[in-house]
Amino acid sequence: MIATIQRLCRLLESPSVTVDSLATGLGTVVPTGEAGSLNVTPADPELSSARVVREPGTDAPAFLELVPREPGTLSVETLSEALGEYTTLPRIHWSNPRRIIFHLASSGAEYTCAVIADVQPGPTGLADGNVSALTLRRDRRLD
Amino acid sequence: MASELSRAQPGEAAGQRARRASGDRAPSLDGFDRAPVEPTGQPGLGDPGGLIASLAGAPPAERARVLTGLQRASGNGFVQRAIADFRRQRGLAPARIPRESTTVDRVVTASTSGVGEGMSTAPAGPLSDAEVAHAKSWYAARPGTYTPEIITKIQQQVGTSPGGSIDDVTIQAVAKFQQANPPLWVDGIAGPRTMPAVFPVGLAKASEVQGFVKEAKAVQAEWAKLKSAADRATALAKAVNEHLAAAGVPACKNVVKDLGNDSGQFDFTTWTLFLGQGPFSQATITDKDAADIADTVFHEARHSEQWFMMAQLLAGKGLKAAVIATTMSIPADIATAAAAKPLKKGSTEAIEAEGWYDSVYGSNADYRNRVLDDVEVKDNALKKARAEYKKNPTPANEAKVEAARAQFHAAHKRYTELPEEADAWRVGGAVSAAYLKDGKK
Repeated sequence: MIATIQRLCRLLESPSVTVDSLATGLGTVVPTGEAGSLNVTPADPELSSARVVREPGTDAPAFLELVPREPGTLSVETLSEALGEYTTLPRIHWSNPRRIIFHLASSGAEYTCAVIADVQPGPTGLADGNVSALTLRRDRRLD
Repeated sequence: MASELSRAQPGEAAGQRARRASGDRAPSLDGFDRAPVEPTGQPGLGDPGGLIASLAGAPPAERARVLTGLQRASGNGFVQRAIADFRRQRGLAPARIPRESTTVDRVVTASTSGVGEGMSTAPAGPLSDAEVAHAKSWYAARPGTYTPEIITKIQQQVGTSPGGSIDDVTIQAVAKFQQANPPLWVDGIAGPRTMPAVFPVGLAKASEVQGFVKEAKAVQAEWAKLKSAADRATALAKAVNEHLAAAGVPACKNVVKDLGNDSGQFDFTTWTLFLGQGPFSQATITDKDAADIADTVFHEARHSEQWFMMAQLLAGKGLKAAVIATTMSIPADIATAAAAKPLKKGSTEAIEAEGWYDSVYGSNADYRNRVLDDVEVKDNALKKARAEYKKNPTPANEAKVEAARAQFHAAHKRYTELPEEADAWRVGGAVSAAYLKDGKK
């Protein structure tokens, strides 16, 4: 799954990526009739579902959501080893999952990728928790 | 995650929204709990009633300061007993303690009501001398925020003479405003909950609420013709985005998602209104459910406005878009838009945004996290109690369910009293109230 996340982030950093190219690169598109997003059955067997959400009024993706097939298959520790340091996010609603964010940026790329993980805390908190869902966000580089 | 009280459970959620804030309010945000509380020794501990008597002639500020310190040092029980003893010795009736008050409020109110009658210097209003003194010390502790310019604006809004300095008349006028705008706490303090009500911006303006209600009703009228949850969600999101645009807030993306019973949730990391698959999939919809959905969509959109104003606040402090994006974990384009329209330092908008920022990202974030965690714990306890009762429906287990429910509601109330939630519940609540009121015409 880590390899898939890293590959998708590289795609998101590309200036020419589209919702369609990202979705077909991820797996098989599932028709839903929704204009704002595409549902995808991922080719990666460790993922159960995915969705690519469009930047309104464009063909570019704003973010994509990934759901691991089995809870516990991706730990925060594994994700952190692959992506580096993370920051814990505030929750708006009390029933929201705990979330952490990793900021990734290939040097020189026009766009950056942020990986936001929903975490089921472990016995000692987020650090030994497991990831229940992922969001990969595409941002124009600001610095 | 299924929840006991979500924004999409019309019955209980609406009841919670309508209910006035009561006693167990959050510490350290508005008012009394931030007042100086250093006790100056503890005279009269062997004669609690005598202690209160010795304070009867003290200036209100001194009385309040000593009582507050005593309450911190010796506990609520001691002070409550002291008040009861004193009132008994004086032949006074038991103190009438306002339901909305904090423990410290109760102490001050109970100790002063009926004491030194005829000595009151406070102008007519809902607050006692001691409460006015507390409010005054609260403002005095924040001269950088409550400048003469801001005080003047507050005075203009609450209908007192705009002199630019805090006085008893202004504090009582703020308290009257709070009294007229439940569930604001009636303490005379224009803090992070009251300021957004005194100076409504964006979606909080009555005209925006009325406009959205009209548009939401049009969506309800077309509900059956709009074939899918996505079509209905898009129609409501389009309407609310027009109001956000009028307020200068970037539009939210909208995505239909399984949110359990919830109608919607704003996600600041992707700037998206996630709208609930279940509520938007209903083939037909009642007025009450439509009002609740409209309330939720507006409430969540208000969160997006709050988050944008927080980003503008940081921009006003000189932070660049890249830093704002990272600090708040918001999308780069949103941070860029905020950086282009910074909030003016010292403006009423900046004070409002500062209150939200302190709560979510700043000095009160730890408290906020504890409040959110506590609601979750109490929700789990309630689920457990219900499961136990279902398995073994005894009176004892039924009582445990009721106890767990009461604890959950108390915890949830503390959550709705967080500044950003109090604001969003008030603004969203205005939508459902107008929606159902219009329906009765």
